[in-house]
Amino acid sequence: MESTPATLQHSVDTRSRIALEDLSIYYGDFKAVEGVNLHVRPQSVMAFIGPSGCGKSTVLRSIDRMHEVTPGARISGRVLLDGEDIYAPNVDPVLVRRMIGMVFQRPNPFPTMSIYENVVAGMKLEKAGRDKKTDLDDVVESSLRGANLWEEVKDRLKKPGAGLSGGQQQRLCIARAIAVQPEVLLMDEPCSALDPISTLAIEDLIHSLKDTYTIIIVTHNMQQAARVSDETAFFNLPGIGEPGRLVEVGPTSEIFSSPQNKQTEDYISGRFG
Amino acid sequence: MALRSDIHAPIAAGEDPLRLTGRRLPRWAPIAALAVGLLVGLAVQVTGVTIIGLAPVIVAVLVFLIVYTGWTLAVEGRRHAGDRLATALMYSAATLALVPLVWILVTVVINGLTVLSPQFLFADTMRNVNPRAAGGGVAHAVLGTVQQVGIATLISVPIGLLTAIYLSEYGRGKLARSINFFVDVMTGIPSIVAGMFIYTFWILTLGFPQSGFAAGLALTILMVPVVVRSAEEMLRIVPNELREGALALGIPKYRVILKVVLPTAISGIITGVMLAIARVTGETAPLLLTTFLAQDVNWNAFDGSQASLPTFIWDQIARGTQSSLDRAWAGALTLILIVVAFYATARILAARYAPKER
Repeated sequence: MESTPATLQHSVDTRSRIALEDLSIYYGDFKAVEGVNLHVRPQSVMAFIGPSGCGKSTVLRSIDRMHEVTPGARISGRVLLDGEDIYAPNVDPVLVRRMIGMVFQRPNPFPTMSIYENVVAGMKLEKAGRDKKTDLDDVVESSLRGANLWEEVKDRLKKPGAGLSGGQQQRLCIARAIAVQPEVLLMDEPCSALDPISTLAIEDLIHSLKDTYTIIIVTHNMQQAARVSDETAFFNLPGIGEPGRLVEVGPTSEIFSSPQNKQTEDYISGRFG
Repeated sequence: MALRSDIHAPIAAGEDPLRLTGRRLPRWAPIAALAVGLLVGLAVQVTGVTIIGLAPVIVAVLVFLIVYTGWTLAVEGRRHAGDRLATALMYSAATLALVPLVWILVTVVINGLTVLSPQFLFADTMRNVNPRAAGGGVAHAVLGTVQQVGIATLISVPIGLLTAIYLSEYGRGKLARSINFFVDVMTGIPSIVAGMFIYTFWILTLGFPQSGFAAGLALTILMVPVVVRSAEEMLRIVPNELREGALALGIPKYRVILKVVLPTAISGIITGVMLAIARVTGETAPLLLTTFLAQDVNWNAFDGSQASLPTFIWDQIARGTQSSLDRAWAGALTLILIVVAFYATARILAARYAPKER
């Protein structure tokens, strides 16, 4: 944590890749999240922490417009990607999702596809057959290398992705996400279904991906947030039935050593509730 | 005494021991009980104290159940007795359900084989054959059934599959609810009503001739709801995570459905379609109204009466002579063979397209 002084980085690069402006999120009439303002710098890792049901995942899903896949779900406020509102009327959610990739809580490789096909699923399906075979081979290798999976699967690329272990499947999903070369990678508790060794592999991967991508990770594991993130945002529920709110956001080292807010302090010190 | 160091000490005499084992019946107990039941049944049969024909069987089953359960109760206790009674009842019920199936199959095979031959199947028709005398074949009926069911399949699979995709992937609100309702209503349409509808609409009102195509239309009405329901069921069990995973990659929804959802569900959909085909293959009533009977080959499905296996069987039974009954049995066997061929194809295709682990 002391290795990267986040404040220093902050002064180096003050642009924000993702900006949430007064974002409120609804499921039908139910307001799940209220009034979130947040900036995420390029090539940094931000962790969302907070108790279950506080809206972390909901906020994350609103950033690549996956939220609206749920019937009745909508938002108010703005979500900006490099200054451009992704909820503007003429924006195509399909293009947004190509710029902002997502990795889910449970590994979800496509069961009918081989490892190879899984990696190129995003590209091949999008541009149906325009890519040449050799180009695809290169993408598969670089994506799997990027996801630290190449050495383990290079001899069985034609085998089904569902035959891999849970941790390998999750790295396959990451490879699949980075194969379409997004700018931002959203991770929704990517390690919660994995054992400690696979978790370590994913965390190492997040460190190396940070050079290329902007990463937002939702996690219940505060040590993980401390290990992988430059900045941390703490969400909380003011009360039952009320919308979740962003309580505090700041450099991870500060959030974990000297939080400004009493709720944050209670949560990270385990004295919550 | 802080530590229970005596936990493995031998149990003193007179102390109630903590036992994990109870008294059990020997392995051969069910067979022995069944043997007792069968012996008593046989005795009833031999002594001739029968009130109704099936009495020996009923007595045998009842004696088996009583002996088996009573024995278990005496040796193993109430819970085991209940368990074994339930098990015995379930096996009895399964056997009871299998009896008619096996009976039908055996009867049809034995009776059908008397005249069934490749010649009977693929070459001979009833043209210039005295319907009351021996000879003839089902070639014309096989052709008719294949054409009519083929037409019904060609029309109902696209309609059914697209409806299922709409209902499971897009349908919300009023339209989806009403489609659901009408599919349910269609599932309940008696087959003769489907035949009457095509007869009055297609043949009487629009003035088209009786034809294999009209029969295919009637079968379509029966087939569409079955295809919709089975395909929808299969699409709905595709995990939502896969759809979300694909959408999150920036894949347009239509391609998500084509490349991820459908391939994942395809083996179940194929099975469903094959079962729907097998189901309409045996329909008789709608065919009588829409294409009636024919004794000769009619290659043109769009004009004139066409034979089919169900109507062939119906016709031959009505003739009432031994040789016509033999032909009816052989026709029934042919129908079963066709349906079995569909099932087999369905299983092979489903296994080929099923998602694999290794």
